[in-house]
Formats: sequence, C-alpha cells, structure tokens
Amino acid sequence: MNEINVLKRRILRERMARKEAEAILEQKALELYEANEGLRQLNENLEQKVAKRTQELKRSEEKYRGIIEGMELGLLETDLEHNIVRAYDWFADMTGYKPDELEGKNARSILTPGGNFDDLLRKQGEERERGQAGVYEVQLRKKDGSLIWVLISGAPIVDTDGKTTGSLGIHYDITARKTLEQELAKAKITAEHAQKAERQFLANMSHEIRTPMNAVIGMTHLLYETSLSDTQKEYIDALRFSADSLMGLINNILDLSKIEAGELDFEERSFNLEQMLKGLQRTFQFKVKEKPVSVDMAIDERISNLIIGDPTRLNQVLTNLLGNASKFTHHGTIGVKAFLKEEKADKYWLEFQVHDTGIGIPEDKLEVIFENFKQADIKVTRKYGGTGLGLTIVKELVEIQGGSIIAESSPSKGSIFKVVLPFGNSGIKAKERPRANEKNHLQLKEYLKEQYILVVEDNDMNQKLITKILDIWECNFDLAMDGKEAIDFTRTHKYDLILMDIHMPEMDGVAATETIRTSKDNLNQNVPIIAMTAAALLDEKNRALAAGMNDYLTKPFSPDLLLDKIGKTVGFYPKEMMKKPVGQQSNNNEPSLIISFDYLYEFSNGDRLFIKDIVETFIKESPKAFEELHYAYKKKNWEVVYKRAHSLKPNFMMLGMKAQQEAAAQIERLIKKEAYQDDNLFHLIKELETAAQQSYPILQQKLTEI
Amino acid sequence: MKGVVFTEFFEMVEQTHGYDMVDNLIMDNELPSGGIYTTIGTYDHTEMVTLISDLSKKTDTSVPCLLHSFGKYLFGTFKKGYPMFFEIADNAFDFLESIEKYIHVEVKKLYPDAELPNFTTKRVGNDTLEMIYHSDRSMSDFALGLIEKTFEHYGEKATIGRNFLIENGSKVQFVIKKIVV
Repeated sequence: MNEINVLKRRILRERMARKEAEAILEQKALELYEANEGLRQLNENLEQKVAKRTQELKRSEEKYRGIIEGMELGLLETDLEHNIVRAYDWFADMTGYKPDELEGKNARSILTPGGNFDDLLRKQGEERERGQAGVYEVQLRKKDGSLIWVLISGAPIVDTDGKTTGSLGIHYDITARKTLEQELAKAKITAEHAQKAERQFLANMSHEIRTPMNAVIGMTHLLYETSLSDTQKEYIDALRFSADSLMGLINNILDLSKIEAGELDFEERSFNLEQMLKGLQRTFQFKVKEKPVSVDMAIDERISNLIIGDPTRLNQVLTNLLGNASKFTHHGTIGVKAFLKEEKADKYWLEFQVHDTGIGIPEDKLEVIFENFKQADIKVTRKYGGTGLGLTIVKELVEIQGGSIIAESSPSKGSIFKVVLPFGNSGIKAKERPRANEKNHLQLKEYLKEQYILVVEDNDMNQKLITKILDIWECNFDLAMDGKEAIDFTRTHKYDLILMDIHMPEMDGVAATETIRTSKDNLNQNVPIIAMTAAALLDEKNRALAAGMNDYLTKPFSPDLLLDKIGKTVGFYPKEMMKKPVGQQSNNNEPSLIISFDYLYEFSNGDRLFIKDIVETFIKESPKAFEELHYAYKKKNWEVVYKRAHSLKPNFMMLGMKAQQEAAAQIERLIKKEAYQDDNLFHLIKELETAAQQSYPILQQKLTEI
Repeated sequence: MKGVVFTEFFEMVEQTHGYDMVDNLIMDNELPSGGIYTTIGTYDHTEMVTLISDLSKKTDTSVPCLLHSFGKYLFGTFKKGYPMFFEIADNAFDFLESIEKYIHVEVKKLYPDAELPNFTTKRVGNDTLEMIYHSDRSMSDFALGLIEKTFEHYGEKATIGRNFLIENGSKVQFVIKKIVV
C-alpha cells in the first residue's frame, strides 16, 4: 500500500516536473522567439539606415556634381591609361561631343592630339598614380577641330582598397582668359614699341631741331660781334629771345619725356643760392625791361651756407615760374623770396615764393594749370602763347625731389607759387665767388692766335658759325668738308687742335678720329680733338670718346663755351682751375695718379648709375685685359698687345687718367711702328698696370662719394 | 541552485537507498518546490542544505561525507553531459586551471543566473598546484570529490591537502601534489 502511494507520488512529481520543464521550455522558446524578432527588427533597421545613408551619399554626390556642372565645370573620369570612363554633360558640351562619343576613347588621343602637352600630361598622370592631385592648363581639341584652353584640377580616384584606379578631372574653360592674356601681352609689346618709338622720335626731333637752332643761335651771337645799330640790336635781342624760347620748349619736351620714362636724375652738389637768385634777377630784369615791372629778390639771411642739391633743376623750376610771372605781369613787381621753412639735422627745407602782380588765375583753374598741355584759359593761349608744359614739368620736378608746390591767386591782383624743397646743408659759408675769369679768356684768345686748327664740318651754316668765331679770334685754321678730307689734311699739315663734327657724309667724325689716332705715320696722331655733336645723346658722346676724341661740345654752343673747351683741352688753364681733380700722392717717389669723373659726369649728365656701371666694369674687367696684355707681350703676340692697349685707352680716358691714356696710345704707336724692341714698350705696359692697380681703391672710394 | 544538482542528487539517493528514501526526504521536509525539480529549472539552494541535512540524519552519515560522495557522483554526470570541457585539457592540473578561466565562463553564458564558486589556482613548482575554493555555500567537500575524480579521469595520482582559510569553510585552500609514477 505504501509502495503504491510512493509510486503514485513519484509519478505525480515527475508529471509535474515535466509540466514545469515544458513551461520553462515554452518560456524559453518565447524568449528565443522574441530575441529572434528583436534581431530581425534590428537587422531591418540597420538595412534601412544603410539604404538611407547610401541614398544621402548619392544625393550629396549628385548635388556636388550638379553644382560643379552648374558652375560650368566639365567633369571627366579616366582610368590610368587615360581611357575615358565617364564624360559628364558639361564636359561633353565643352568639347562638342556627346558623352557616349567620348566614353571608352583615349582622352589623350581624342582630346589632346599632336603631342604638345604630352610631357605635362605624362607628368600629371604619374602624380595621379602616386595619389596626388594637381592643377594645370592645357589646350583641348573640340570635335569640330577648334581649340580651347582649359584649366584642369585633377584628382586621383581611389578604390576601397586604397588603390588608385584612375583620375577625375574638373575642367574649366579659360579660352577667353587666355585670349585676353595673349592680347594683353601683344598690347604690351605694341605699347612698348610705341613708347620706344616715341622716345626715339623725341630724340630725333631734338637732334633735327637742334641742328638748325645751332645755326640760328650761333649766327645771333655772331651778329652781336658786328657793329649794330640800336634797332638791329633790338631785333637781334628779339631773335635771340625767340631762339632761346624755342630751345626751352624743346628741352621741356625732352624733360617731360624723361620724367615720364622715370629717367630723370638729380645732381647733389653744393651751390650758392643767393648767387643763383641774383643771376635770375638779372636775367628777368633784362626780360621785362620793356615793361614797367621790377624784379625783386629776397633771401632769408638764415640761409647762410652753401646748400646741397641740384642747382640746374632748381634754376629750371624758378625760371619757369618767373617766366610765367613776367609773361602775365604788365606792371608792378615780380620776384622770388626764399625762406628757411624748417631746419632739421643737416636738411634745409626751403620755401620759394614766386610772386607777381599779374592777371592772376581764377580759383577754379588753380588745379588745372598743373596738368599737361592745360592752361587756365584758351584765350590765355591765344594771347600769351605757351605750351602748357611748363607747370607740369615744374610740379614733377618738385615732387620727384620730395617737395610740394601750391598756387594762390586772386584774378587781376596777382599770383603766388609756393614751392617747398629739401636741400642739404653743406656747412660751408656761402661767399660770392669770382665769376669766370675774363682775363683768362683774353689770354687764351692771345694764345689761340698762334695755334693752327683744323675744322671738320659738313653743314655750311655751322661752317659759317665756327669759322666766323675763329676769324674773330684771329686763329689760323683749315676747313675740311668731311672725315675723308680731314684725313688728307692731317697727312700734310701739323695741327694743334681739331674740331670735328660727328655726323658727316663719306666718313664720319668717329671713323676719321680712329684713323688719325691709329696711323703711325700721321703727323697729328696725338693732336687734341674736340667733337662737335648736335645730339645730346649719351651714346654719341661715348662713341666719340671711345674713338679717341679728347672732349666733346654739344651744338649749339656759345663762343665762350667753345673757348672754355679749347682752353681745357689744350691744357691752357692752370691745374687749379680744373674741375674736381682727384689725385693720390702715395709718396714722393711715385708719380701722382690723377683720376677724374668729370668726363663721365658731363657725358652722362651726372647719371650716377651710368658712372658706377662704367667704373665697376673697369675694376672688374681691366685686370683680365692687363693679364692678356702681359702674356701677349711675353709671347711677342704684337697684334694682341695692340688690341689690348687700344681697348684700354678709352677706359683711361673716361676715368680722366690722361697719363695712362697717353701711355696706352704710345704702346699702340710703338707696335704700329713695329718698334717691338723699344725698351719703352715694356716700361709703358708695366706703368699702365701699376697705375691701374693703384686706381682700384681710389675708384672704389670715389664710387661711395658719388 | 541549478535544477540538475537536485535531480542528480535524487538520482544518487535513489541508486543508494531506493526511491523510498527520496520520497521520505520530500515528504519529511517543507520544500518550497514541493520536491519537484527539472534540470533546467533554478531552485533555492537552502532546499539542498535541508535535503542533505535530513539525509545525514536518516542515514547516520556526516554531511561532509555525503557532499564528498555527491561530488564524486556528479563528476560522472558532468563527464557524460559536457564531454567537450574535458577535451580542452589533457592533464588534471590544466583541467583544474580551466575551470575558472573557461568552464565557468561558458556556464555563465548558458545560465546567466547560475551561482558558481570561485576557484583561483597557482602552480608551485612542477608538480604542485595550489587551488583556493571560495563560496558562501561552504561546500569544499563537494569540490574535493570532484577534484579526486578529475585525477582518476586523467589517470593521474595526487595527494590533496586542505587548509581552511576561513573557519566556516567558505574559503578553503587545496594543496595538490601530483605523484609521478
């Protein structure tokens, strides 16, 4: 009985355990199902998200592509062999193809045939393969064969493994820009040509006008030397005034072109302001002597020292302003007052007031008058003449020097032009210096009576001028019509001086001089030669010097100027009268070395850069020339010895090293005479070399001073 | 406590004393589960304490002795039910070390609610393993049975010393020295 009960209980327990287990299993199954469901849900969400992201990505890609296409940028995808994988619409439009006409084709053979850009494209292709982007410009051939310029920004296309599979190029059509660039470059060249032509024209004009002007001015001077009635004198005054005005105008135009070309240089030297103002006063007193106008000059007594600056340019400014003042003033006073406006360190800031009691300038024209070719009123031009260039030049000259100019005026009462300019203070008291020595001129004229001169000039007006002057001085002279005739003369006559025109038919002055200087049998091989040139061109002066001329004279010139030149060239003036001689007395045993930049100053109109260039070239190049000279002498290569000496000679001349210039000439002569054994030859070469070596430090020093 | 422990316990009692003893243990004790266990269920461990204490009384066998026997018995069950755990080690020490590091980790995955003792092991020299049993159940005798059976399984011999680190037996050190034949 008990056993049955136990069994029953056991069965019951096991049934219940099974039920419990089933319940648990069911529970677990449910949990599993739910877990599964959750998993499925998650999966679904994930897929949705991925799809959404993909969509977004695609849209953003499309958006940017759209933007790029909308920006008129052509997209092109290529593989590493430049085969077109995809051509976007705008790119197709750009090149005139349909996208499917491009896709599958090789970009290089269809778009850039001809090989002009092969190097560039290969290099770019290599960069893409290395994964680098790049920007470059190439010309593409369109379907219709026409060419366009494109700016390409190329970037590598990289697959998911990081491997470069091709490149994507963004193309921007820059044909218009390129065309513009080319046109601009062309326009620039044209403009430069035009500017050059203009400058050339001005230079030519100056030459063409100066030649006849030379005769006019020269003749005027000659007329003064004849006995004249008062009326005649008056006419000549007018003639000279007109000629001077015309020269002034030419100079103005030349100045303006120089200013515009930025080629204007300013001198820095000390000068006496009071003297300059007094000179101006005299000049203008003479000019206005027909009118009831007095000329006043006043100088601030605090300006007691010589001032440093460019006296020529200051004179030009003041002459111009005073010229206007005298022109527009019919009665009353004109004049200049110089004030010390400010004194700072070693700088003087000076104010010049050029005043008049003339017709005045309306207030609304006060600005206009400084503009090119503008005058206050067209009626003014008609009544008073003038070009309207004067004040423009004045303003430019003042402003380039760091100064300023303003005009104040009340019509019919007068005007004041106030110019403020900086000057250096030399610290040296200004004293009236004696004027050019009249006595010296007289002595020189006496001396010239004993001289025998050859004049070489083809222009008969100029012939008249120069021969008249020489007649007045009672000189003996011969007249040659050109270089060829001149050489004939020099073969038979021994002259003390030759005045040589540069431009002549048959043989010009330069060639004639070279012939005279290099002919060993010529009686006049070492005669002083002064060039007479109508061109104020530096090049001309250099050629004259290089040919072996001693000095030059720009036509037109006054008799006094000619006299001065002759005096200087023939060494008539005592040494202390020479300008800026620089010597170095190394010790008592050695001869002094004379170096002077006077030539360079005068030839270049004080162009410091030019002087520097010449001197530096000499320092740099001459040691080599000496080396060659020496070597050639040792090797008895006389031709080279001659050539070297010949090429060194003008260098010495330019540097004012007259002794060395002469020594070089002597070497040439000895070689020409085939006097190779002459002891002097070696000494001369040695002498030249020593002098040149001594000159280098002096030249360096002088360079720092200019 | 997992249901398998209860079902296996009843299995062992039935084999040793017949089902009457199982019936008596259920009838004589107030068991919240009513003595109905399934292997996949989870039951209060105090029921096991109650059952073992009563079995001890009824058979006049000490509780530690019963636990020790139960441990030995259960080893066979484990071996049969979870043979893969025995394949990862080819000697007793490696197996014992794998309990905490591997077997319990896997059990926890299958039964997140399982409450398992903690074993830390440390090798001392080549042939000695120190193993610390740590459990609030204080059933180190049960563990001892399992360890002994382990050596038997791998065909190895060892002396097993036991130190109670905490008096109530919740933390016990086994010092197991392999006997090299």
